[in-house]
Amino acid sequence: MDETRFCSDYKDSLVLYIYGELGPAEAEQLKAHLAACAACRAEQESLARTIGAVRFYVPTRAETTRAVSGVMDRIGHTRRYFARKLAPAFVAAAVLASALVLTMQWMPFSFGEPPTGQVLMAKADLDTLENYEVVKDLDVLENLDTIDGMEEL
Amino acid sequence: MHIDESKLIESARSGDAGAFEVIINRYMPKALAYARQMTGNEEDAQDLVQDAFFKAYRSLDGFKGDSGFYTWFYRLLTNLCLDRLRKAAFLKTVFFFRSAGEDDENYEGPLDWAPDEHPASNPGRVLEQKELKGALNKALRSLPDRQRAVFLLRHGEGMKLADIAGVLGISEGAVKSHLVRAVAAMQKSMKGYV
Repeated sequence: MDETRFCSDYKDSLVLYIYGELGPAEAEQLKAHLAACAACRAEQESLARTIGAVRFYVPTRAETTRAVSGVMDRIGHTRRYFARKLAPAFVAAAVLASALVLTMQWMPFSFGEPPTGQVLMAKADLDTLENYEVVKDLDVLENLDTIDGMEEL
Repeated sequence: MHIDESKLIESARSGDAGAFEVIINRYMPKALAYARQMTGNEEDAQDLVQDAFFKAYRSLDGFKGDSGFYTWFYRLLTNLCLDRLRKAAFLKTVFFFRSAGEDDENYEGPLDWAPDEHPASNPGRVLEQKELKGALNKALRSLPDRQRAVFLLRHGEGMKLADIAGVLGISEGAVKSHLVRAVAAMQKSMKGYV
């Protein structure tokens, strides 16, 4: 027995001892102390009576059934909701996404750089459009036929 | 017939709700008792336990099996209980709300006592037991939430200290300390009754 330990040092160990949660060496030390100390034995008995007096609540069968049904209803509801509402939406989205991917793969054109010839032609068109700035009056456009006729003369 | 739990979990994970129902039935009575004793209220206990099992079902893919399902589930349930108690304490502080049964001498709390086999033959004993029950409930309600959780998990559920540490996310040393303090507080509150 460790003579340097006081009774107050064993207070915490008593609870753990009652619950069987004390290591073997410490349990042996406490047992030896209890054999020699009436005050600690009385404390151990008091703690054991306190712990022994507690009887825990036991739910009724109706309470248990209600709780189990509650969980299963929620699980069933979620599964039904998924099956009815969300699954068709997911399927439709998946089909659309697949169709889009396939279309892009089989398209005859690409979204890359245009050929050089196309760039030159576009530049020429832009020059032409810039020259249209000379046509400032709509009347000129309306009388284009007349002007053409005058040129023929 | 006792079906292996890991097989049930595997079936439930692949969508077999019936397998999960077997698991629920296995744990429901203890889970209900624990939640009822944590909150002191049957309606809260029903809500919390149903939430915990539903969450467990939806999170089964995240259950790696490092700890037992029992410990994993109790972690979910305990967190829900502690959250609910924190919110209730906040409301009580801010709005001076009183929870059901609080300060009520006739409040039928979560703890019970060993019933007398012939109560009519000994009315004095019945009164004594009623007083003891009141003292036990008051003592349990007065414990801090984490201490109460440790006490209930060890004493009510018979869980090992290492598992309780896993449930509460604290060290085993801290669990021991909570347990010792809880029992000491219960002993003090019940002085004169036991």
